[in-house]
Amino acid sequence: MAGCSKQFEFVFDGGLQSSTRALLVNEVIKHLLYERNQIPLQFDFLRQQLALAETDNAQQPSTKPLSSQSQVDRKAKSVISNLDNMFENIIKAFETCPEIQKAVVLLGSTPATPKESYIINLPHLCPEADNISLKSSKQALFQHLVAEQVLSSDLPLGPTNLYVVLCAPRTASHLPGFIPKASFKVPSRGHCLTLNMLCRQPTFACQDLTFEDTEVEISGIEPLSLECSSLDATVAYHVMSPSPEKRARLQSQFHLDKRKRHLSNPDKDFDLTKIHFSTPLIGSTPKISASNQPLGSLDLYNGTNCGQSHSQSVWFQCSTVVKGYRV
Amino acid sequence: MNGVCDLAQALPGVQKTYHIEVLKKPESITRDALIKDRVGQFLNTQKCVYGDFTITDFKDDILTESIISVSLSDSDHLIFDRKGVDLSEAKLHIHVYTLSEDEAGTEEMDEEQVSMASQWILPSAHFHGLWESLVFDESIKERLLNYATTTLLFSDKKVNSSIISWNRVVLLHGPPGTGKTTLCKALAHKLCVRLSDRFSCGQLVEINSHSLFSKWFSESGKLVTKMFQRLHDYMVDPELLVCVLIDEVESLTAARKSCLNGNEPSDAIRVVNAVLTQIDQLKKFPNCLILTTSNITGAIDLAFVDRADIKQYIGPPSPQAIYKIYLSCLNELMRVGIISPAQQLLELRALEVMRFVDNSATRPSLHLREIAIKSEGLSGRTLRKLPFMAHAMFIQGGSVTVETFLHCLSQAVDQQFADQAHLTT
Repeated sequence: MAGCSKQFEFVFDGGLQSSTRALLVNEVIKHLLYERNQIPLQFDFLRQQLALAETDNAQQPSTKPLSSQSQVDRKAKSVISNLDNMFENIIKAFETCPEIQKAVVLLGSTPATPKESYIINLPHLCPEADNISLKSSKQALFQHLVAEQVLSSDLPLGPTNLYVVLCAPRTASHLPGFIPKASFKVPSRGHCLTLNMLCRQPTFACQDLTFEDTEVEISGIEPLSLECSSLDATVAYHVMSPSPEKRARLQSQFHLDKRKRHLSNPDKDFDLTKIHFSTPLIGSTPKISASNQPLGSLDLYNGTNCGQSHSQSVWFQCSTVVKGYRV
Repeated sequence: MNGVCDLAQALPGVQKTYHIEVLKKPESITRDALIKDRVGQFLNTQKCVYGDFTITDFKDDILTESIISVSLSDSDHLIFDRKGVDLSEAKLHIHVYTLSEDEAGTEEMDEEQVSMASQWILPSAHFHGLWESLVFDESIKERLLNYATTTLLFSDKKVNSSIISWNRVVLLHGPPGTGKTTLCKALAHKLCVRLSDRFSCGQLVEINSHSLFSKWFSESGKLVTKMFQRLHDYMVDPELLVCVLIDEVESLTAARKSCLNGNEPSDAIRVVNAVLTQIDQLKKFPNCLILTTSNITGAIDLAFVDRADIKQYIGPPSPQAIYKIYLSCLNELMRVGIISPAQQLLELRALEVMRFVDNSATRPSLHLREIAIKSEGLSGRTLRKLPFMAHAMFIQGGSVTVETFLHCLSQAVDQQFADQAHLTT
C-alpha cells in the first residue's frame, strides 16, 4: 500500500481548554470509527440502541434473541465498554498533562504496521486566551468533518484494531491508562491523514513581557546610553555565561532598554540585531523569537514531530485497544 | 569499517561478547543510555559468574525504579568448564528492552473475512521466557542466532547478492512436538531483544497457510501475492525487523510433481509458484527473516527446500536434554509449592563431577536421571506435559515430597509408553 497523506486544518475562534481538547479527540475517534466502518452505527446511537435492547430484554425475558443477534450485541457491548474506557483514559491523560501536543489514531493490526493513521495536531496551550465552549468547538469541528467529508474514504477497510497514541512532554512521567512507547514513530506507510487544530489566540502573548505597544516607565532606573547598555550585556554574556533563563531575562531587559531609548532619544534607531551575543539567543529562547508575531495572529502549528524532538517528548499508547466489528 | 565493527558487537556471537539483557518496566520512561550506564556500573560490582543468571534486586534507586531484571542467558558456550567470568573485566553488551503486552493482531484481506495472519509486536510478553525454556542437544539456538547475525551483517555491508546469495529462509523440520514452532517464535523474540540498538521494534507475522486457499478457482495464487504484498509494505520501514513464520509450510509449498500426478487442482501449483516468486522478492529487504517449519519434509517442493539457507533437523531430546526439561519442571513445581519442601536438585554436570555417587544429597537427582533415561524417545511437548499428567493421574492431592513426585513421574512415563504402544497396534 503506497503511503498517501492529506492535511486538513480546523480553525477555532479561541483557545481550547485541556478538557475540551480531550473531548474533541474523543469525538474524532467516535466519528472515525463510524466513517471507517468499524462500528455499524454512530457511537452514541449505537449505545442508545444497545441500552434499548437491554431494556426490552429485561422487560420480556421470555423472548430469546436470535443467536446471531446476541453475538452482535455482545460485540457491540464489548466495543462500547472498551471505547468508554479509552475515552476516560484520554480525558484523564489530558487532565494529567495538558501539554499533550499530538494524538495519533491508528487503524490496523498492530501499532507498528497500521493501514490508516490519523494525526491530530493540537494547538499550543495559552491559559490566558479566551477559551471557546465545548459546544461551539464541537460544532466548528463537525462542520468541517461532515461538510468536507474529511474522514470518509473509498479505501476498503475490514474490521480491525484501533490504537490511540499520545505525544506528551517527557516531564509527564505517567499518564494513567497509557504505556510509554519509546520505539513508536508516526507511521509512514498506509493512508495518513493529518488534522491540524488551530486557534485564534494570542501566541505566547501571555508569557511575553517584551511585546507591548504602550511605553513603559520604570521609576528608580536612570536611562543608560545605548553603547553602555550593549557593552554591559555583552560583557555579562561573555563573563558570566548565563543560563538560558537568565539569557531570556537579559534579552527582555534589552527590550525594555529599547523602549527607554525611544523615550530618551526617539530619533536614534536601535537595532537589536547589531548586538553581538556569544551564544545564539534565538535557538535557546524560542518564546521570545515567536513573540514577533502580531497579537491575535493564528497559532499555527509548527509541525514539530514528536520523533524529531524525541529527547523532549515521549509517545504513550493507550492500553485499551478497540476491535471493530461488522454486522 | 567502523560500522561493521559496531554491528559485529551489536549482533550476537560474532565476538565473544556477553549479552546482558535488561528488561525495562513498561511504565518507565528512563532513557536507555542511563539504564545501560547504571547496569554497567552495577555489574562491575558483581563477583564472578558461573553461568546464566537473572538479577531482580538492585541497590540502585534508578535501576529499582526503571527495570525489572538483568539477565545473562546462553552462557554455556561462553563460559567453558565452569571457570567463571569476572564481569568487571568481560566485554559486555547491554540490551535494554520493554515487553509489548498487546494481544495478537490479525491481518485480514479486505474482501475476505478470514484472518490471513496473526501478528505480534516484538519483544512480546507472550514469548518472554520461551527461548530459555527450550532445551536442545546441539547448539541449535546459537547457530540460528549466528545465522541471523550473518544475514544482517551481509545486508548492512551491502554484499552483492548476485555473487553471494542468501535467501533469509530458515526451515526447521522434524517430528511433531519437538519445539520447531516455539523455537521460531522464540528466535524472533530474541533477535528483537538482541538487536534493539539496530531495529527500533520488531514484528512477528504468523501466516495462516490454510486461509490463503480461496474457494474460487485460480484465486489462491492471488491471495498469496496479496499477503506477501502486505509484508512488502511492512518491510519498507528499515527500523522494523519483520519475522515471517510459515508453520506447516508443506501446505503452501507442496511438491508440484506429486500435485501433477494426483487429484490436486492446478490451483495448488499456482500457490507454490506464487510463494516461490514472492520469497525471491523478499530477498532484497535487509530487515526480513522467513522462518518455516514442517513435519513432512518429503512433501515439500524441492525448489523451496533449495531456497532455505538453513535446513535444521529438530529431533526428540536426548536423556541429557530430557533431564534439563524435567529439572525445570520440578523447580517450577517447587516454586509454587506443589512439591514441598523445596529441595535442591543437582544439574547433570554436577552429578558427573561427583561421579554419580549415591548419597542423600544426590539421590533425588539420580532418580530423576533414571527417569530421563527411561523417557528417551518422547517429544519435548510430551515431556513438558508429563509432570502435569503425573499429578493428575497419580497424586491428585495437595503438596507432595520430591521423592513421591518422582515416583509418580516414573509411573506417568511408563503409562505414556503404554498408551503410545496401544495407538500403534
